[in-house]
Amino acid sequence: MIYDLVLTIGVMLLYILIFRLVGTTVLTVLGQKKLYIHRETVGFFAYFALFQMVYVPMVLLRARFHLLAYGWILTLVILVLLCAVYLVTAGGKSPFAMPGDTVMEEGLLGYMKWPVVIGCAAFVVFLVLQQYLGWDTAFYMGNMNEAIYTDTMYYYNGNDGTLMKSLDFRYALSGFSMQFAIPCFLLEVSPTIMCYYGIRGLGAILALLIVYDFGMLLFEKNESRAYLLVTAFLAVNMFFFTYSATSLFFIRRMNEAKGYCANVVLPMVALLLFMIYKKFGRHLWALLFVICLGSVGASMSSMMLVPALLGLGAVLLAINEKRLRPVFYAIVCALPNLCYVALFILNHEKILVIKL
Amino acid sequence: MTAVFSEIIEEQTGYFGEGWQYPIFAIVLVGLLLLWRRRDAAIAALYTVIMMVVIYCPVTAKFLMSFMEGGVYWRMFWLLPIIPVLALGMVEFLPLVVRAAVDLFKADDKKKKPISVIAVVLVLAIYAGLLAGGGRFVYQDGNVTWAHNPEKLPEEVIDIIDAVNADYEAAPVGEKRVAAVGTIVPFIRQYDATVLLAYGRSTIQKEDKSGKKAELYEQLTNAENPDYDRIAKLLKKTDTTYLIIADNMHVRASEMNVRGFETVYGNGAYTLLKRD
Repeated sequence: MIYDLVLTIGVMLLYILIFRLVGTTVLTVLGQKKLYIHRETVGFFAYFALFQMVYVPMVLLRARFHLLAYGWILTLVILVLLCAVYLVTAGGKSPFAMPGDTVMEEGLLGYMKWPVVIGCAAFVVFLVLQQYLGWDTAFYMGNMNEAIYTDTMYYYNGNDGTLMKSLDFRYALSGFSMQFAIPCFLLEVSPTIMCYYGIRGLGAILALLIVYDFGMLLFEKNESRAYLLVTAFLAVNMFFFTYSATSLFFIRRMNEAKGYCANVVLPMVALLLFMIYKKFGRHLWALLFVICLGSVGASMSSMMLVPALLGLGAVLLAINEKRLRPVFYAIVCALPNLCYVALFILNHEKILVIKL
Repeated sequence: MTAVFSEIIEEQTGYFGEGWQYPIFAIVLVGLLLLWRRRDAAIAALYTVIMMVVIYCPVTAKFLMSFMEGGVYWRMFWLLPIIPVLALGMVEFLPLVVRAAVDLFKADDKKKKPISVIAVVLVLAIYAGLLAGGGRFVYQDGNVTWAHNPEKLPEEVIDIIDAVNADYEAAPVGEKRVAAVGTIVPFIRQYDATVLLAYGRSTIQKEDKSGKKAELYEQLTNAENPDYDRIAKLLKKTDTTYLIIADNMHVRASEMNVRGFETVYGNGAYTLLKRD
């Protein structure tokens, strides 16, 4: 199991590196190298956007899991190479570096950085060491385990292993579980370890980065205030414990896709909308489209919640800008999610049924 | 519509519990409107109000609920910026108070020094107290649970599933299907998905307890006087090879032994039996 833990940590570090590479490439392509946003968070969504393009056709065609695993690894190698070549040739100097024009306050607040970073790291370690035994966790892990052991995707019920009559689009349309099953399959890592330590830790890190970026946006690149916001965010989460609150998912259930929806997807969409409102950079609608494209890959709950957030955000932007263009842009951004909604409805109404 | 509205209120109660986050959120939002960049705060307030209308309006709620299976409307409350605004309140108001206190402290009048310190401590204490007292600490009531193994599963469950695997490998009979006492069912396939279950979540949580699987679950987990003949029959009908019973519950291994079930392994917490 120590071997599994070490490998899981290695895989997560690799994920973060790949997210950074992909995120940097996306921002460079959009001419947004100076945009103050963590490349890892952008890369996460771009990564899942691409993964969904490979995964969804395969799951609908009832392809074997090993085909997805090898097919995705090949796609990933090509992606990494393309990104690396692109950044070397067109990325300019230090493409991976975050923009440096930030401000640090004087006095006590000026020393916030390392205590907060160390505090967050300790919190993430504490978070992954927690035990949470629930039905949903069992279901997701069951799906990952089934994929590896039976070489199928969503053929069997994740809870009890019974053979399903048809593909359940409610879970099958999102590639979240299968994505993290791939390194488990290739490296023979236990999905249980991957879920509890890897997925949970990765989600918490992404969530904290988004909060920090929110702070940098709100406080005009004042690092001290941004770190203070991260601290306040953690403190508020600690004291807002109910069964349905985002806090519960952040602190105890970050290994589930719902945890990612509540603490990574929705905050990221909100961050982009706020950036658009603040006119923080160019081509932000294009960036938001990439985020939305990858959102269902992270969580099926994004299917409805992201369009709801986008819709209202766009209306407010339209009121602010006194023109309808934000509404049209938002509709385009929501199109991927709405396509998933359409597929879900067709499956739910038994119009589109894929028998197993 | 009344039923829909009742469901919305139920979901709201589930989301906020008995905490004070809602009123504190409203106060902080008003505070931001008064003290902050007004346009930004106004946008946040307008967003909140409109989103609340969408969430609480029975017409829109019914439309949205039709896409959300299984009573998960509480996820709509995730679209309210409760935690960001509460966190923002901490960041915006506290430095204001600290700055005012520092100015007071630096003033020539020596009497103002202790007043400024008390003011800062008081404001910090009130805000922290409101959040802590008005909320519920996540790491209470046994929510901090340290795992005893990397898999974060009960050790006895891992042990008994290892025993299932070892026995099946030595002498495979039929499918490796297990009927277990309800308390450990969620853990089995987290550890090993090659183990099939006689019943899962959908059986355990459904209200209608008719059907072979539901009856088997009830007999093994809830029956005070288990019908052992019926259990043996149901295990055969569901093509279940293994039975895991809890040593501290009503089903006795000895009764199953005389009905064609051999005791394979026991670890003090659970006993594993195999159908002959």
